[in-house]
Amino acid sequence: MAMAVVVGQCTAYKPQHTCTHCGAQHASRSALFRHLRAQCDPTLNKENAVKLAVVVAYAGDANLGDDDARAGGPAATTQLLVKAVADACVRASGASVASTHVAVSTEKHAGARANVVVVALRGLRPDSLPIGLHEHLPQGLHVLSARFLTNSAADQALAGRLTKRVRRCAHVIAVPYAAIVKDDDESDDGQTVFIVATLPGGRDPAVDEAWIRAAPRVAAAASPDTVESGGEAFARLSYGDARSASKAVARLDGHVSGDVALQAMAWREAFAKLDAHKRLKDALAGASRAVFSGASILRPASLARDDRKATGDWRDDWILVRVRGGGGPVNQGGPPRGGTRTARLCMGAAVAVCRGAEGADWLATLDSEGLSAPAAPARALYLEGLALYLAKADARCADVDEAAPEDARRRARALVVAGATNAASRAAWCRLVCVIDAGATRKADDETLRAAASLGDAEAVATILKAGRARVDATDEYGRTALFLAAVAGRPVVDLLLEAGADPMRAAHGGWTAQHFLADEGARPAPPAWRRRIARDPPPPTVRCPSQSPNAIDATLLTHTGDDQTAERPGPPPRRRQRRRRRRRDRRRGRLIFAAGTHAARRACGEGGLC
Amino acid sequence: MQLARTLPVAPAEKAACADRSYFYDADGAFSRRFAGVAAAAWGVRVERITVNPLYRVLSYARAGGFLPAHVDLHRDLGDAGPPTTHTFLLYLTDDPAGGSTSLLSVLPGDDALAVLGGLVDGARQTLYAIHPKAGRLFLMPNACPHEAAPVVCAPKVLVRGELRLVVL
Repeated sequence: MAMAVVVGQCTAYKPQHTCTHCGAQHASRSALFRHLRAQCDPTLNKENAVKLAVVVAYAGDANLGDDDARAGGPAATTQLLVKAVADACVRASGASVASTHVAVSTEKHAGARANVVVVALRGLRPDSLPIGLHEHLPQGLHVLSARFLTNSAADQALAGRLTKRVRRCAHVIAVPYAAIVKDDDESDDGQTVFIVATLPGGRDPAVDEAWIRAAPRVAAAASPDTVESGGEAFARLSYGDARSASKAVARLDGHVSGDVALQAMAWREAFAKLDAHKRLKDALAGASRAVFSGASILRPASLARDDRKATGDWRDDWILVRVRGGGGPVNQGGPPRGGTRTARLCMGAAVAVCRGAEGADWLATLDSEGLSAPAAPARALYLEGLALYLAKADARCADVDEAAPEDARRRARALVVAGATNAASRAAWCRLVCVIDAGATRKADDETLRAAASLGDAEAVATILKAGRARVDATDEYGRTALFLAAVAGRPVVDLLLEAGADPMRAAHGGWTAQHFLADEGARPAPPAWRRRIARDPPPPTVRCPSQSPNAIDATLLTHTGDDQTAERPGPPPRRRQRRRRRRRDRRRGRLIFAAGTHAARRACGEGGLC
Repeated sequence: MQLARTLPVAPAEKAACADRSYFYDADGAFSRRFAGVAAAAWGVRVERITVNPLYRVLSYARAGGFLPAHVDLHRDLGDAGPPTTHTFLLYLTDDPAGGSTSLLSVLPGDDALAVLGGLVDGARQTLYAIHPKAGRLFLMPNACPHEAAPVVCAPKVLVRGELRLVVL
């Protein structure tokens, strides 16, 4: 029932607003602020408070100083982050902080919480631009870009966009090439070498064909027979024999000239990688346009070069995939759109497709059925943030920060790759690929959960739930959830499943719910309508004599079933009246026909009436 | 048994001539009835019969729908007992002119393929042919080869289930 609350007008209470500087009383809060701005505290004037937008990269490993608060979850971490940035601003500029605002807050588990902090500073001296901001930040936090927001219309609009929850934020996932490379080409002769020139953060378009052609000479490698330049800082070198080709790879790979590093590998390996890149790109393009931005796939970056040599088969080639963050309807049923969760699921799905665990057409069902692949590891997900956005929006950020926009972008990318290629992320990707190769999908996990719940295996149920891939309310073809199966079987694991959020009122096909079997006699919901119509159970059937002389067909069938009906010991012959009564009852129930025929069945259909 | 018509039809999942829906008999209401009828028909004690509570409703929506010769798999009932021995079909519609279920003769080599539900190719002799009739219950051993003839009066709707007859 709706309730209306009427609040009476209060005339007895008149709030007093006192100025802390001069003690003057004001009738309203706005009057007090008018007074403060005009007389006692001019720094409250908007034109005297300067807004500084700081783009921070936070990789989740930063030492924010307070472990207890960090354990309080993403919100507490965000508060610590904002405090750290504000403190750094104060220390770098000597001004005081009027207000702070978090512009972007990513979802939990992403490893990055907030990456644009807008700090309003009061009493900023003109000569104290916070250029040395990063020196005052705790270790693990990086300033990607910082700029003052002026009172111009463009900046006000930008501030408005920032202080809303920015939808343009992007989650960046670094996918290792090795996760999806399948090298099964045995026909290559090993005489061709692929080289690519890279800068930290990506390939350098400034590296031209002449540079590439000169590279073998500069690296003191054997001159190739032919050089085919691809025009984008990569080339294909052909050697006369496989031995000199592998020697050239050893010479060229890792050779650094200026800032540009050379990466060399056998053509077959490069081909497998490029093929994997293409497959991933296609898989993602097929997955969802709503999730992936147009320029989602960035070029492979080669930063962890030393790491590559140390680990052997887990290469340092990564694809950075940008996924639109946040946005879209939440808690409205259906699969999630945007956000880190979607990003991880999509990446897991894409890798599953690339590795052949799922068909490419299966990606088309993502929108309707949700994802059934394992999610990509959380640690591989980082936030690139708004560095690109700010840099694109206004080149004037170079006025306040020495970093040029291109440099900021490059550093952001480098941070993402560095974060994603650390040992923990690599191990997580390894695990993901292993479970996909072992045939694990989200669907398989759902089935395992149902089986464990049906058997009442509490330990297995807890393990699967903790792993977090299985969906607790996933149903089988009969519409049965894990909770339903456990409830019907009377297993104590129902408590575990209920704690995990299983819905006891979810009906299986036919209308039965888990609640029908969980609740006490009195609290049970009404059974399905069809069940009420057949509420009376039939009387237990009586024992009858089997057929005495099965005909030839019966004999054939019986041979196949191994069903030894003829061996059934015949009981005493029932009386004639009893037999007639049973026959009548059988007719009432419906005609019975069965292959291992009896007299009753044959008569029910008439003589020879089986067809 | 006519009340089985009121069963809800679940969305079809496989592309086949027959739409399948799946029903789980949670409180055993149908299983008790099927067990009772089978026991009465065979003249055995009802305790010897265990009915699989998982039913499939097959619906041949269009005329011409058929099922080639096959055998049914022995299904495990999950109670650590032996698998099912018989399949039963409860027809819910009439089709006096077509849609018959035929029991077929056995050819040499069937046994090897029976595990997969397959059969060797070759001409078979029809031993029995049963036309659908609403309320008619047809019991047959799992391992007997059988086929469904093309439907004439669509739709042909039937409930399919399995039961286990314990051999004494």
